[in-house]
Amino acid sequence: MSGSNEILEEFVQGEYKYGFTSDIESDTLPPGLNEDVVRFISTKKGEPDFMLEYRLKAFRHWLTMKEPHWAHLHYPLINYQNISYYSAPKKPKEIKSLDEVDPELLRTFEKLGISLLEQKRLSGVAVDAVIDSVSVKTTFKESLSKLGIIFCSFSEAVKEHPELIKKYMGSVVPYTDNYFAALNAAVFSDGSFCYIPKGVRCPMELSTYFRINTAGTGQFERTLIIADEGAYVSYLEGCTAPMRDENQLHAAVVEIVSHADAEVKYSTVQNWYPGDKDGKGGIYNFVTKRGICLGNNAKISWTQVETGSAITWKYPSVILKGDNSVGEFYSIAVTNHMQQADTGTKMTHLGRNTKSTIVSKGIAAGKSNNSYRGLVKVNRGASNARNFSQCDSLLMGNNCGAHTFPYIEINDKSAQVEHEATTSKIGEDQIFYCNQRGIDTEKAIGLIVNGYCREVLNKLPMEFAVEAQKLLAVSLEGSVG
Amino acid sequence: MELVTAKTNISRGALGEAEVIKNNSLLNKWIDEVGTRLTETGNIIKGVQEKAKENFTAVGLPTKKTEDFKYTNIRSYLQDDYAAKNGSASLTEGEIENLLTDEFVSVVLINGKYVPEYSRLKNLPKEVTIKSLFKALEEGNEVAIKQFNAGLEKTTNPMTMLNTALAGDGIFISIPENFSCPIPIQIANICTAEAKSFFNPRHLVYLHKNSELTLIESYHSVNHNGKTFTNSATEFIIEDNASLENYILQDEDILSQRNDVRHFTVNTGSHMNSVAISLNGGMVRNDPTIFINGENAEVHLNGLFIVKENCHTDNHTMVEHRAPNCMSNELYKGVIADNATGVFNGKILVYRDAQKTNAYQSNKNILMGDKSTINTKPQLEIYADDVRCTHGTTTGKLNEEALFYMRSRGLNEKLAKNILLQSFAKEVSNTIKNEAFRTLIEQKIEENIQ
Repeated sequence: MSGSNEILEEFVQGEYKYGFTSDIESDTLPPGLNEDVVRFISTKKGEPDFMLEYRLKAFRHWLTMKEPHWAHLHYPLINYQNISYYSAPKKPKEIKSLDEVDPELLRTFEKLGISLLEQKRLSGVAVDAVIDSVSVKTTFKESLSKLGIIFCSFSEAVKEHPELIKKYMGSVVPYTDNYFAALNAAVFSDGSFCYIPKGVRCPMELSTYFRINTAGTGQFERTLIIADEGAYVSYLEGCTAPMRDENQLHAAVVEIVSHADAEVKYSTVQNWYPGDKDGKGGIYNFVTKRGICLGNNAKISWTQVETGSAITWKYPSVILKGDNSVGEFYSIAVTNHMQQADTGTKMTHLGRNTKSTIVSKGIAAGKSNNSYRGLVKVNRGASNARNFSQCDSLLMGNNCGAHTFPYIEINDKSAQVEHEATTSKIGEDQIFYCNQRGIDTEKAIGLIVNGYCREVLNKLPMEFAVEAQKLLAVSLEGSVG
Repeated sequence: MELVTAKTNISRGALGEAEVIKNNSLLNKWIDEVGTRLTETGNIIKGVQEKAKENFTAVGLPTKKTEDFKYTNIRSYLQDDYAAKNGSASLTEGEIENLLTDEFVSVVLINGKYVPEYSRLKNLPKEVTIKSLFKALEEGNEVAIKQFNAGLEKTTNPMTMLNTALAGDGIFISIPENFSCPIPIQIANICTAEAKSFFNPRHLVYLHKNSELTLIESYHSVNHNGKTFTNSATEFIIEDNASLENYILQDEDILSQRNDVRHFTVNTGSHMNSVAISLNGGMVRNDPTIFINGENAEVHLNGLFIVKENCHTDNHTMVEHRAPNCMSNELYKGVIADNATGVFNGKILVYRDAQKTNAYQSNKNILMGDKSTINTKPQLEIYADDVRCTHGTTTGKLNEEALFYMRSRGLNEKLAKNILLQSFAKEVSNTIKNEAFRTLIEQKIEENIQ
């Protein structure tokens, strides 16, 4: 502790002459970003030198970049100097019983069918020590490590498996990739690391849910998943329950490496605070997610259900480098009130006989704007590449917008690429049909929307799918007058 | 964390001072080269040009980062050392004879300049006005003065601003109320010039209420001895219940580079059908914008592009549904061979009030060469809920099974491929209603897919 105290002293004397806003115990940096902040984060986390160098390189590169504005999003300029880049995991405010929790939140939990225990955990009620998830976590960890699977936090991996981090970190999303990826590489807080060794099929769905420290990973999360030859893993991120978060800006990075014959299935349900009805507050979510099919016959599949965040800027992509590799993207994006989403995917075909499928379902309600933006690129020599894309948009009410911006760049004559998109509203006849049979309009909408999204919902792991279905209904509540 | 709300994004995307000065000097060079020909046409035009000059200076020539020009790098075609010129009748009548036909009223434009001596106007109905646009403006033609630049005033396209700032003389056509022009009018655009010439012809076509017109635009080049760039702009105004059939044949040589801006204003109950057949030309960019301003209008936009060798063809379309109860239908098909590049970038924009819109967009491409490229970007931007909008695009090769079927019946590979390509093209050429022109196009297509 004295070591870190010295470093803090240095800071106090140096750049931070006004000291910290709070004492050392709370470990929160004052707002602002410079090299010293990057060094501070790295030191605080006890990282080896190569990490610090990486962070600094990223930071210096970030300084030369400009915030991108090509997306169909409108938001006030973000002042990056107004953000605090380090805050040790805060202890949630102790709440003794559910009676003290916001009743609105409880009602949502009820609708989602979340168990009482779970409700307590999610809303930060102190949970009985016996069922503390630490024990759950250790049992899982044991059975995974027997198979040679490494599943831990990113910080742990940096210390314990530096060779893997050195080899793979930034290999799919280099810090030069884009503005937010560079920012993340410079100041990332923590995240998950997952390595599946050769020929191992991960016996359970890996979920961030079991990793107890997720709650504190904060706004700049970094995830790295590596599936070695012939391995398989299904990874779940997020949670259907609403996430309350004080951080407004989120810039996460997810990298997936899939070696020959390996398969990675990545499912996300994102339900962060979208702001109130007038668009006040809400999370800005700028995420870079990308996977690479390195070897032949590799496969990466993204499935996402996006219902939260005030702003979503997210394009989970696949680079199909190995021959016969497969990339998939299934997405449901729901926007309501003042939410804005600009999301889609990028499929880059480099290897021969590569295949990609894109199914995107957008639902816009209230005064929201929902855009699909995708790129399908077939390089010269990527013979017999095949892509099928389908982007449907559903509009509810006449104050919202639904947009489709696909980019298709084909350089090989043997490629076969199809793209189709439709935009329409829920048929009045469909609602009438339901009403006739005693289903009220709100329920009817839920039913129709679920049918509309079924193609994507089917791709989710079962328990997730059930929750996601309920979530859709809740997200669209009140959107029909 | 707090987000700064007070600052807005005024400076986003704005150019630096050095760049603005550069744009200004480039434009001034071109303005000096074409001279001030508009002094006598009055201050209206002068004002319009001054404004366009100001607008262009602020943005400059599009770069690859300009989203609308992402796949067509104008700067690699139109360079600073191009000299802006005015059109002139530098050809003899004999040289262009075979480009005209007696089946149409033929209007000859050489580098955009109207040449009445070579034009064949004997079958032109007296009700129809055809004259030089500048002459119409000078004479105080009310329609011309009122409509000149009305549709393009608020454009964000730098090439249109450039055209307005440098506008050279073009053609003015006006069809009176309740008149249906019985004979198609052909505008034969002939390009002939020294290397590195740069033309900016400007045209205006006006259809009064309840009128009808079939307008054929054909593009040819004669005696070309170096690369030239033509940046033309045409405004079409289709008043209530009028109907326009607009057919375009682009058949220039490989030295021709052109950017054609067409702006259509479509009013209540009117109908338009525009078919662009791009067969030859070093660089061809078609940039039609359609503003649907009145209810119950119907818009058809079709295109076929066959691109070969090192050529580049770009179809950039914009359909803006600004009024309810309208329909638009768009079909673009491309055949790309050799080292050529084809581009389709179509956008449908439905305004909040444009309920009950039906909009369709389809783009189909065939890649023939090992080094051919297609970039396609079909876009929908929709703000009204009670609409039906779809778009679809496919890229692929010729159907192997169909080829096999024909070959197993004794057709050689070349013929089998030709048959498939012709049937692929026919979907577009069939939308040409004028039989004489359709036959001509079909012949041309056949010649070009050999």
